[in-house]
Amino acid sequence: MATTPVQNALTAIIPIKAEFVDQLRSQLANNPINPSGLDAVGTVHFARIFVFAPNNASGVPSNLAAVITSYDFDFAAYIQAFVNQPSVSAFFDSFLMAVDDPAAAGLVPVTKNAAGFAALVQKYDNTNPANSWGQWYSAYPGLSVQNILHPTPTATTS
Amino acid sequence: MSQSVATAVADPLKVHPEDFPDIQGFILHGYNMPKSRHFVLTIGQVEAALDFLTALTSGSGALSITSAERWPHSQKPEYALNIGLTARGLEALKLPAASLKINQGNFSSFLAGAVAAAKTVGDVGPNDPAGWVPKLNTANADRAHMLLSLYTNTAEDRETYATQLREMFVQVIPPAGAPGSDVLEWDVDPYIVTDPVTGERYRKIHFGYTDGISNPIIDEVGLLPPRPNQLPYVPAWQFVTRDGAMTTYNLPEPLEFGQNGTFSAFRILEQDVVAFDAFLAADGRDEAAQEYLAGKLCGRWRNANPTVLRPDAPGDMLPDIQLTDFDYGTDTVGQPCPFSSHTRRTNPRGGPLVVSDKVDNRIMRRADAYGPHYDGTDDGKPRGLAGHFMCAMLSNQFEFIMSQWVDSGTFPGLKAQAGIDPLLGNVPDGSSFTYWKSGEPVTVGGFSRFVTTKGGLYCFIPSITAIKWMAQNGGDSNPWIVPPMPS
Repeated sequence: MATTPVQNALTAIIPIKAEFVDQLRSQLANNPINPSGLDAVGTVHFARIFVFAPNNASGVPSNLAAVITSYDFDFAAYIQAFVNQPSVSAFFDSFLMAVDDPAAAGLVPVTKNAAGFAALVQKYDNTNPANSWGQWYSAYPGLSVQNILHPTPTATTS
Repeated sequence: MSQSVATAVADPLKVHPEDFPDIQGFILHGYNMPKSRHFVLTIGQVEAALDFLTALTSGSGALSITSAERWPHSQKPEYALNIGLTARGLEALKLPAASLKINQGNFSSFLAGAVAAAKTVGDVGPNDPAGWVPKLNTANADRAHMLLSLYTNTAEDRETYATQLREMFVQVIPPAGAPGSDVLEWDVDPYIVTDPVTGERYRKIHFGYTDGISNPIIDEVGLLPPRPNQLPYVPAWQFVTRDGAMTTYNLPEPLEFGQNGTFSAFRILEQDVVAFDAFLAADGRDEAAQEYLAGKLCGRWRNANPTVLRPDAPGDMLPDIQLTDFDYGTDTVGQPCPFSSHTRRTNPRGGPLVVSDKVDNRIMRRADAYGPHYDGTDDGKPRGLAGHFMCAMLSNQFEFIMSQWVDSGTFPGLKAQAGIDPLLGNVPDGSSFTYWKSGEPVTVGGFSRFVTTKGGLYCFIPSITAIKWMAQNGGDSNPWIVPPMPS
């Protein structure tokens, strides 16, 4: 089995305009990204997207949305394949209109602005692996989604 | 061409015949002309450069840019000529900042240039741009402005038209002795063999493989419906810059500049044929075993037959459509075509386990062999492959293939199976490769890179309308400049 990590983590905490908070929360509950769209991307292990609840025990402001995911390979290289999925782009086009950042609305449609979208999300990424603080663990860091779904046999050496 | 075509928004999905006069010919059609020479020059004198662009598109010069218009009776002309400009080249033309818009997010690769992309595409270590040919290397890349690609049928014609072309651009380049006054001239002379039975002619790269088999087919009005196992036609916007809701970029502005162009990664790739042959012959492999390994490394036998269709031996050369109309089916273990093989890495054909559909991330290759034919003797002479790798978005197409499929082993499977394209990748010393023989996976190791990058250049290949627009609007007092790249 490959040992080089192919998995990465994203923990983006993104400010939402006050007037869009309830709408976004409703969208996530009632009309989230179609899982088939994420299946088609083929690089996402897990994804959680939510808006912090009002008066949560942690005291996190309820105008913040979290995008938390474990994914394979290079974020920027695969962002276009990600937003090319219609259900993904439809969600994030709506999401960007709610984001409280002057650059966000200009990134709609996200399919035409994938690099800018990636930069915006990474701006709010608190995983910060570059500084190596905190801890990240995976039981199988060298396995991609596709490796797990389609295991391969062992080779012999001539 | 009519003015209406140049200024109207074109169909993003299909190329129409009326578009042909506006699109540079080699984007849509391979010329299949056996001699070519690529010139890279510096724009030293703006007015002369604008006049040169006018001459190339007005018929007033000795040579003109070749469009995609069909040749009468399919009769090849004596020459074909195409042009590209780097971002620094656009800057040197002093195009008006008030009207020229190139989206930095979409086209950051082009704007930053090939040297800046080195790490992304594997141009590190021995491939580092510091070691490229002088005109293109790190020290001089900002002065590589214009790329002219001249194609001819004979070596004599190449000399004749090269002489005329030099006379046309002599006033464009800086005066002799000034920085940038040197012109890179790179000849490409593919080795061509003729089948003694059919009389068909095939190009061979120095590693011995038949070349020029498969390129994307851009969707075009009038094409027959795709054959059952044929790869889907690629929508026009992926290779010809077009506007539309489905595109993944914002078309450069104004329309006259941005539409009907493409982008090119021009590459000079030196091939170490001696090392390749030595690797094949290692471990006492006999000739048959060497050919077997050579086929599996490429994913095609040297006669072009895909190993997925002929898993155990080359056999007779298959009909043309079988050379292109195949897929990797349900193969999830790299048998009969290894995951690391060159053809599978550069065009996975929507095969299992690959994050892509069948038409994303394709490139149009217009490149051929340079240097003397290798006859098995180590003559120490450089030889390799040079030319254009074209697409509408360098980051999504050329750079994606190089970084994610060729060089970084992001294909699934065992490390060796998921490794680096052995024929094109920046292969570290001591690498291994896994293929299948007699129903068992076998790993061979101990090889290094066989290809070393000797030059790269990112160019915009403008439409005929765009060339005219630049000629008419360059020399502006408020010129567009290459935007600073985010750190």
